Amino acid sequence: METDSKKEYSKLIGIVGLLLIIASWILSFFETAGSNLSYISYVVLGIGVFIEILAVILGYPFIREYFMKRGTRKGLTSTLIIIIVGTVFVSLYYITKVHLQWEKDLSTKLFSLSKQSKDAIKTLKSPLNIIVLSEKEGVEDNTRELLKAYRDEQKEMIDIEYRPPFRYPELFDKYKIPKDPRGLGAIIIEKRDSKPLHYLSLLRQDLYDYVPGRGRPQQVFKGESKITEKIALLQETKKLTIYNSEGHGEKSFENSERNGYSQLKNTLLRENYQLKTLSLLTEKKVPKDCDLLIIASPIQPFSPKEIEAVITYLKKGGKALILMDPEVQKVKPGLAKLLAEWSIKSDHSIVLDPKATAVLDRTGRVFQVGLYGHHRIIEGLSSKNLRILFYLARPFWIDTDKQRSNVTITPLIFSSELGWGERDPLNPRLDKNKPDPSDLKGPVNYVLAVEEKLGKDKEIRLVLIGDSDFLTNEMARGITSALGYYGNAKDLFMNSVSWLTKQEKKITIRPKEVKRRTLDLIGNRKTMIWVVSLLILPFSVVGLGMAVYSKKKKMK
Amino acid sequence: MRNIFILFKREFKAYFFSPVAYIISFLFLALSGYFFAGFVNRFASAEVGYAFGSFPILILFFAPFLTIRLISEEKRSGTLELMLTSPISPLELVIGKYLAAFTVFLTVMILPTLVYILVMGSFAQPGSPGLDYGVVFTVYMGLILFGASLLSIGIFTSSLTESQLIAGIVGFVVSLILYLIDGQAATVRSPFWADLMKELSLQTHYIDFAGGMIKASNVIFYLLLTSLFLLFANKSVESHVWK
Repeated sequence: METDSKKEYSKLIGIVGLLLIIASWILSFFETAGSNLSYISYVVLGIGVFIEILAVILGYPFIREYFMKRGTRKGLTSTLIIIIVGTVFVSLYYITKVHLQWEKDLSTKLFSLSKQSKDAIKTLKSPLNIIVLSEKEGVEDNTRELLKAYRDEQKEMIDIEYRPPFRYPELFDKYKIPKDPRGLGAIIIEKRDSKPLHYLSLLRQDLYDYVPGRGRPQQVFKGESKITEKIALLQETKKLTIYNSEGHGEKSFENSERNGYSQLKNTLLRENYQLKTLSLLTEKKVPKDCDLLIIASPIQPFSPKEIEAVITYLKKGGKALILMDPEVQKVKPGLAKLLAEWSIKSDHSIVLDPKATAVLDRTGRVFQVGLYGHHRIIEGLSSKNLRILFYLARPFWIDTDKQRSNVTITPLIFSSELGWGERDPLNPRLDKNKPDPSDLKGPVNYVLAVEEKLGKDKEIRLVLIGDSDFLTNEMARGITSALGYYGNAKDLFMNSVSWLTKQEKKITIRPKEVKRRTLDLIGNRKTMIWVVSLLILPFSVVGLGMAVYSKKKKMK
Repeated sequence: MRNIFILFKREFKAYFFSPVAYIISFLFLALSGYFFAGFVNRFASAEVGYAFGSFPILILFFAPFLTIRLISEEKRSGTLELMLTSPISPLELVIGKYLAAFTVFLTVMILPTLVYILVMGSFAQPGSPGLDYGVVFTVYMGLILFGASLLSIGIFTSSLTESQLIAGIVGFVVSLILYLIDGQAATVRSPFWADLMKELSLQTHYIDFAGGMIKASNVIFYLLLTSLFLLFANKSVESHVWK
């Protein structure tokens, strides 16, 4: 009797010990870095092992007796065989997966890459991972076939992974992809095993262009040129650095409020730029690693020393993007000396244009739309007649008498001939249909691109924009975004950044459509498919069963 | 070998002289036909990989019905002891029964779906690339290997218990876990366990077949998984002798 209860106790203790060991193992699954779970799971494991040893000591005679039985020995042999066979199987699988890597693609290709893309892939220096934030089935045929064509071109160098966002939500933050419908189907192209992360990404909407068609604009798939462009850019080892000046109330790329530029920051990061802030008051000069200086609407004026520092940087072949709101918005940028260096003038006036298309928003603000000139920065926007809305813009004009021969100034966006620079915008009796004699005669410029050649491959580049509000987070969230105006504004900004940093797209590939495997379901074919699939096929099996059953009955 | 063939013949006949095979086939074809016709009519697409996209999960539901009674019924009726005292070895018993279930699976669940291919092939849009027979081949290869591994899981769970219901439920649950396990990989912190979960998934290894790709690792995975569960079933039947 005592032996029996001892046996039961040792069994019970053994089970408790085993359960604790299992519990510690399960706990280890849910550990996160820095959590206390790691500590807890080790304690649970320790207690479990201790109890298990206790159970073995207490029940040693019974364990010995158990293992002497024939059945136990047979069972142990079977377990051993299973372990050995299992190990052989796992090794076999590992060898096939890691070392053999044999595969055969039996599908017929519906898409072939252009020569430019093939060349870009041939010259790859480091292997790439292409991650698609979607299930494979959720991606359009043309994109899927295109990615497959890239992979097939050089399997060792390109790997494609489809990552459904609901299973991999962490990828949105990791790759700065917007956590909204725009981010679904985003394509991330990253250098494999690169530390820190080196990648470029494309949103689904970036793969398409809109060209004027009958009635509505036609959607054209431009995936190949976009992806090849990114692959080529990714091969450039240097990450370009953009400095955003601070200390004068400039718009901040860190600011996620309505007036901030945090949406633009994410776009810049996705395009492989790194963003730093620069206080000229403390630094005294523009750092050497600055590939582009952004001055985003200073409210307080730059000091003469700061302006001198910017001019010195630019004169060495520097690049700058300057956004300046009009003084009617209570800003005093004090950049006149800087502009005058390249024979550009600007004063306290605002652009008024009775001929311009005006758009009214919910707060009663009237936005004006300018006309496009001819330049690489705006050619995509201009060819598709995509509008950019400006609210209270500052005009720029060129002092042609002082313009140096090696300086090219191109008006990118300007008012109509009837537009002018209003020098008394706060006048309550202001006539918005015609200028006063003291006003600046039109057309006046909203955006200018300046280039000064310094040598064969060296030049100064500047882009001046007479407004900064059209790029704020507020515009990215409201109706202006839904109607595509923010997207156009962002294109102007990003195209300017690309031109200034000489990262303009160099690849133009004519869009190709992927042939789709389609069915011709004319007439009653749809009904026929339903009838065959749902009635004829299943019920013929029932008929066959009944025939066999009756035959069997007759045989009896 | 002779014993395997005798057992195979006996089991195969048993399937077709009972309503089981016909009911399973009817239900499988009705559901697969519903999904197939729904997809094809909605998208007018001749992409076999997508048109047959629901088939693995349907096979997962129906395959356990083909195997639940194979050994558990012999156990319940007491004929297993009788069989094991005859010259038939446990391995021959397992393989004979498995081959019968596998042939029935091919006959009642896989073979009739060729009608769908016929439909897609004959309704292809003139000028479009039409059906991709390479993908048709790999999709069927994937479905057959997938089904083969599910049947081996089923025969193993059938060897564990006398109750057909329990055998069926356990078989279905084990298959479902192995099918969906990759979905949980993202929630696991350790990369080792996350990778292991992905590698163990029945679904992960099928996806390449659906896209027209044959990978040796996927084929080997299904073959080894099938063999492993057949070995488990064999050892389970063997244990019946010495327990």
